Amino acid sequence: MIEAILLLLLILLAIVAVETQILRMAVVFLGIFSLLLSFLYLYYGAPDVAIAEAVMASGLVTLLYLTALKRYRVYNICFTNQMFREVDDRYIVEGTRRGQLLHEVEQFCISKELEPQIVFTPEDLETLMGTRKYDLIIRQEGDQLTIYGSQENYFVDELEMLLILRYQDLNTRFMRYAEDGSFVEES
Amino acid sequence: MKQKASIVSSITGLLYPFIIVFGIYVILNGHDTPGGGFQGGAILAVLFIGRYIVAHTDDFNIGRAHNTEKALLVVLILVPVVFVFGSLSRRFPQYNQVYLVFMNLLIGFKVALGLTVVVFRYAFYEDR
Repeated sequence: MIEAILLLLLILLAIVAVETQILRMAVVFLGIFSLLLSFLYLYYGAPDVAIAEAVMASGLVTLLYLTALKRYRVYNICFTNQMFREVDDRYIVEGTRRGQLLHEVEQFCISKELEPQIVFTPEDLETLMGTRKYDLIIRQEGDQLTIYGSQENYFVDELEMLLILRYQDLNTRFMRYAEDGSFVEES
Repeated sequence: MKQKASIVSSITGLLYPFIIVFGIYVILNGHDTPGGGFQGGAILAVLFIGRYIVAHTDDFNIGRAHNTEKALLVVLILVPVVFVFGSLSRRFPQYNQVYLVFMNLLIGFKVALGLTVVVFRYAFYEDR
């Protein structure tokens, strides 16, 4: 009887963990799943395996997943224009080509489960690089559109592929900066 | 997560001694009750990782832990070679239990250090 209940609960928790929209809740459901599984191991007479399962799967793995989720939450994007008086709603609202670019970046962030946070500022590039607060800087000089991303971010590579495929007609350039703030030439 | 969760941090602080005692208990009784070096080591590893989760300290010396783990691996290989293949186990059968407990202790500390190094490397260097 208790065996049947445990097995059914396991299936239920697995389905819930897969179907949950919020990743953090999915991790917690996975932890409960592992705890029930370790109890089932104990019930089947394998206490050794049960201890390992309880410690590894519901302790360490949950902590590891939560750490990973915390690292990747907010993605700061900065949109800057050299001629700051010309920053216009026209560039931002949907419909125009550049507004669409920002929209696209936003959609991409959401699909990667990042929380995009877009800031519009008239400050120049050196100040922005100095603060080191932004993960992605999009800079516009007339028709030239330059996107600065950290060299070590996997996310930037994927974004570059996507944008270069879609925006061949715009004058778009990708730049990478290293940890110390110097630029890396594209190969 | 800038603010500190005071409930979590105080409860984790309360749990530290119990985690240590339980881990060492599982390691020391591994040869004749459920448990053993690996399980006890994993329990001990939760100690450091829980400390990182709560306090966000980055003063943990990963290099030293890594080197200690390598040294423990060498000892872990040498002790059975000397004890079993040197036929000491047949000459001194009364030390067999001591040998088992000692091996479990070595494995436990090696696993604890190894898992801690894995998680800390992930937490510090995957910051991208």
